[in-house]
Amino acid sequence: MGDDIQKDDELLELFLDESREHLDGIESDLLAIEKNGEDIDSDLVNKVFRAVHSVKGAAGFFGLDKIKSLSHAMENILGLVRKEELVPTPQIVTLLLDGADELVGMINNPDSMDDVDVSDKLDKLKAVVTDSLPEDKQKTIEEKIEIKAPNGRTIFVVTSFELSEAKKSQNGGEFLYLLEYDLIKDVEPTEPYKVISELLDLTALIDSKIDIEAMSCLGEFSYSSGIPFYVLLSSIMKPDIIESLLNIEQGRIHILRGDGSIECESSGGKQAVEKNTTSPAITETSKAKVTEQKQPSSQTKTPALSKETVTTEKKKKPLPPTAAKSKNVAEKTPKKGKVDKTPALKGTGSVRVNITLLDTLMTLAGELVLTRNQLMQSVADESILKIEKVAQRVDQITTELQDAIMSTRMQSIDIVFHKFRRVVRDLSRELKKNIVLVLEGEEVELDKTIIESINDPLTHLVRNSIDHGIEIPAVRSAKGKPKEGKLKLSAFHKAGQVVIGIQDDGNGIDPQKIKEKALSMGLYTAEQLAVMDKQSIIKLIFAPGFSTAEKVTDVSGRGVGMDVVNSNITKLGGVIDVDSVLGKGTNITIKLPLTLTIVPCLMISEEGEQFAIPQVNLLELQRIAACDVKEKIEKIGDVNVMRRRGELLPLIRLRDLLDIKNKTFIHPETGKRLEDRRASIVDLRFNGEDPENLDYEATEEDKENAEERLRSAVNVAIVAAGDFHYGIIVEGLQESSEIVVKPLGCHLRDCRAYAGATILGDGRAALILDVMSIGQMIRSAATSEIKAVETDRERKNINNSEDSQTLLVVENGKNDFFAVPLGLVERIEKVNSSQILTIGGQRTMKYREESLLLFAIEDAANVVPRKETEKLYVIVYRMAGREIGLMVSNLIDTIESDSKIDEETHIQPGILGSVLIDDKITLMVDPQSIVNHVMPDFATKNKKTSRLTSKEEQTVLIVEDSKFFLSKIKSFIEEAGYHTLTAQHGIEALEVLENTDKTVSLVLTDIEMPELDGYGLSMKIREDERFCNIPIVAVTSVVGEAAEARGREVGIDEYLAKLDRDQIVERSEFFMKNGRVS
Amino acid sequence: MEEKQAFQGSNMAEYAVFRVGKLFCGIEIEFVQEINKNLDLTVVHKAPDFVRGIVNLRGQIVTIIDLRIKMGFEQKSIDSKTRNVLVKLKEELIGLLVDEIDDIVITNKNALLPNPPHLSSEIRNYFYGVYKMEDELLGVLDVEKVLQ
Repeated sequence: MGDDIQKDDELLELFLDESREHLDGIESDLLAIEKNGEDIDSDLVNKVFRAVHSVKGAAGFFGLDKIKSLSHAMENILGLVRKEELVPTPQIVTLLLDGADELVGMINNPDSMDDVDVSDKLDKLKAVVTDSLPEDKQKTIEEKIEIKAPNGRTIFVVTSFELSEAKKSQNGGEFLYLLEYDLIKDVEPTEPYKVISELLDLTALIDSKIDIEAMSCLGEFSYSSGIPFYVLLSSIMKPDIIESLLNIEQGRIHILRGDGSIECESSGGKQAVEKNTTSPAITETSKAKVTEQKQPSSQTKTPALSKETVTTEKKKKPLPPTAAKSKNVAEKTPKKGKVDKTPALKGTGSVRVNITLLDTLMTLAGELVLTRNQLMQSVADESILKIEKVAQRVDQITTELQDAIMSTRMQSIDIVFHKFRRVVRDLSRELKKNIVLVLEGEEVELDKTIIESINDPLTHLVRNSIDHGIEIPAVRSAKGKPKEGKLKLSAFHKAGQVVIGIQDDGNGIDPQKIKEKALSMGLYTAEQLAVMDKQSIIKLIFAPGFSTAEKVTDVSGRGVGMDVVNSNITKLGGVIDVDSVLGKGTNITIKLPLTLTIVPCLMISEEGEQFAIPQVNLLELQRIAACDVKEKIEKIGDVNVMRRRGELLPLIRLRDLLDIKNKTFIHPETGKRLEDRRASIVDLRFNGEDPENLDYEATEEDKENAEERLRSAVNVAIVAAGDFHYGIIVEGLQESSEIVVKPLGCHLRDCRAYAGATILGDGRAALILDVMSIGQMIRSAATSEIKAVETDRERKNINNSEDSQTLLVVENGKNDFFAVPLGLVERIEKVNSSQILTIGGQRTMKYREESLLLFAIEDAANVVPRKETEKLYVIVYRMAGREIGLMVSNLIDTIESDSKIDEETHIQPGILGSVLIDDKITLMVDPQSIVNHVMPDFATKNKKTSRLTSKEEQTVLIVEDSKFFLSKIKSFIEEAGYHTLTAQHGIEALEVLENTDKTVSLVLTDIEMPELDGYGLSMKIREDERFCNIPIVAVTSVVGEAAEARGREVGIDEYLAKLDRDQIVERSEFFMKNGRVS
Repeated sequence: MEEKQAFQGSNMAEYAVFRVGKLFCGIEIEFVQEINKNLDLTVVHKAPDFVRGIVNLRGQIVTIIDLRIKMGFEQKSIDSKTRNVLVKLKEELIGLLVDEIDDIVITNKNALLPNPPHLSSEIRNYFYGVYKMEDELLGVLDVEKVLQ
């Protein structure tokens, strides 16, 4: 078996690689064949046939008999299917699939091939062929024909069925040939594989074999004959054509008669005539001829190769043939050690690169070399101008080079997706469920490493959906669902990430069960669970050790829970989310970065050292002004915490976390580094007992100067480790940049605080913080302490809080402050005034390869114009599918405000109302109204391109008494591409519903409203049979168990928090798509 | 090339020789990838004490091991003589911080003596053995053990 492997490992690797490739798509193709049933797609069958056929042909060359015979048996069946003599029933396809699995298995583990028993599969496959044949033909399968070499040795034993099949096949024909190659002489060391492929393309290859025995039997005298390699094939081509086509020596092409005996050699010379007598005679003469031919052949051998053969042959000589073989294995072992490793490494080992891409890379590399030369020259010339030019060029080439190299690592997600056809087929059969798999976006590309690591989590999720999600047909019919369950896997790009969806229309997740489980496992208390909304409860399935399967099944129970999936996804820098409606289905979304090697990061500094925090973990940055520290940061037990929109965040100081010695701080006035005497920044602020020890940042004189205060404020990077949020207090916040991740050495493996290292612009190394691990480190300590306080407070908050929100305070005209709702802001950029261009009366700036339209508050509102400064800030918003920028001269602070918005007194274009901040009336900016004031057609102009037509037909009714929130929610929904209608209270909403000519697909309503509140509105809507099926979602700050229960009673489908744009949009889309929840 | 073959044939071995604290040590030249002054270190907080930091070596992050700490000496600040000896172990490049680089020494392997008992046990653990040089002992470092 494996011991017949005579060729170089390298060659074998090539075979294994190519076979893998051949067999790669076979599974999905077979499944497609099964689906088509009698309606045979001959192209598809042909494709599979050729794949199996190629594997068979090459396997013979390596003496891999098990692979050969198995693929051969499969090929026979496929041949019959191709000729439409056999219908590919599920049973037959199952056999073929099993066969293909076995082939893949053997190819992936070439060294354990000997242990594989294929006889059972072979018998079954052969039985299929026998059964399919008419009786008179059945005996042809049994009928063995021996094909002998001219020297009388039996080379092949084939059945007459195979011969006749070959003749009838695509490349086959009336002629039957036995080719006798000499691997040493006829075939270049690297070429044998090519020879096989050539034969496969041109002829119908029946069998092939390296005749090892011939070598060992012939002994010393004939080693020069090299390694005989026989190929049996059928072709339509005449002998002379074959001879000219296949580069093979005259006299080595034997034409066979129908019974397998040699008819004549194709040389056409005198020798052939001589031999054209009886068989025994032929054997005699050809034997002589073989010896004759040996001399020239030994001369033509390449020296290196002959040396090798001589040594092997000599070693073998004293041993009997079988012993020689085993010896051969022993000799091979060290070499095979290499092969041993390869299957495991295979996944990451090699990448196929498109040749055009490779050319691009070459060109770029060439460019880079040229530019380097230019650079050296410019440096020698000391010409700054030249150097600048070259630097620009280097920048450009590097970017292109990076892009090109990155794309070599990109693979389509179909590699993972297509496997699920089989998984779904097999599992649904096993569980007696009827499930169709729908794939979408298979062409989406992701980094190779991510593709490889996503397979397991996805498999788990798919299995979960099939096992626990989708019901058996009887149950489905009883529920009035279609018998056939639907499982959809989709992938698409969104905001520089790839979003993978696993969606089923099964039974969904029961929040009640999750609650019970969480309670019984002691993960949460009943009080904690009572205030959690439905979404958060469903998300508990990701908690460690959580599994809701009532009984552990073989399919997806196994004690491995969703928490493993969650942590695997998180390891990849991804985020997983689940959304489920009981009885309707479950929708799992995974967001993944495109690549792991280049990661956008925020650079921060501590003690003059730089660290990187991956953007994907970063939620937001907060500067807490020195005077606010005391108010905002508290201490619970040993943990410092901070309030963030009602949530308590544990805080960790980076220098404490990393035990950075020599504590210093930067003097806010002199900029000098001084010794820091505080034990903890928060400690002293909180207790604030000893004024002597209070450091500079908090002294009175500083407070007078707002700017100074900002500079000496505490910087907190708020990060997310899964669903656990915490803040890292850092000394300095720097720019965000794309960094290349490098692994750390083995001595630093145990340093859990770091995810790797990167190289900074100045060539120094910097460490990347591992937000996940740090989170784990502080989580256990922090959560228990906080939890108690948190629930306590949350409950209070829920009942008392007005609609609290975060506002960004900015300065526009000198000492003229405005508030901007932070929830609408995409990003904030600091720019130079010189970057702003005025074109056609409209200000723009170049921003992320596009031009960004800029507006100012005074464009619409009657306020003091912005003071002209060299540096200014641009607040970037997204509006009607486009980004726009709002210019302000300075950023002051972000504040949490729960004071009421006055929506009447100060209203004017561009101004939404006013709010009290630090007892001062501050105008609230409405960016949308500014844009609409300046360019009234902005939204409509951009609408057409950014919206899908199907969406446009859907209309959402928004009911909200606060104009501020009304405009905000309206912008969320319109942004997502839907029409909106608005009303300020329940009565008005009912009037709108009554009078509109549009079909309302969803009602988003506040709960607390004048005239008629959300509950009342919902009741009225449900009473009216025209509207009772419209989904109603409450968008409110009134949440919690009691409120939700009341809501359910009156027919509200879901509760959402007011501030979360993504959630509002996502849930709205969900309800518009799926309708009301039963 | 020729020289090297000569060594393989005979029992000669080549060592890169350097000083760490009061020790005179050598590493078989085959282990040594390069010796440089690239000591623009980035400190790794919370790392084991013998890890002095990491450096960027032409795009690769290399961990720098302070041999002084490993050998039980006090840490010393980096000066003009401090060198970074890069060795390759299991496909990973690791830097060894040494006080001073000396020379290349060629010696006969047969002359290797067992560790003298006056050396501390941790040092003895890191030395294969010693050679008697003109006026002092040259300890041969067992790179794998040092980097364990």
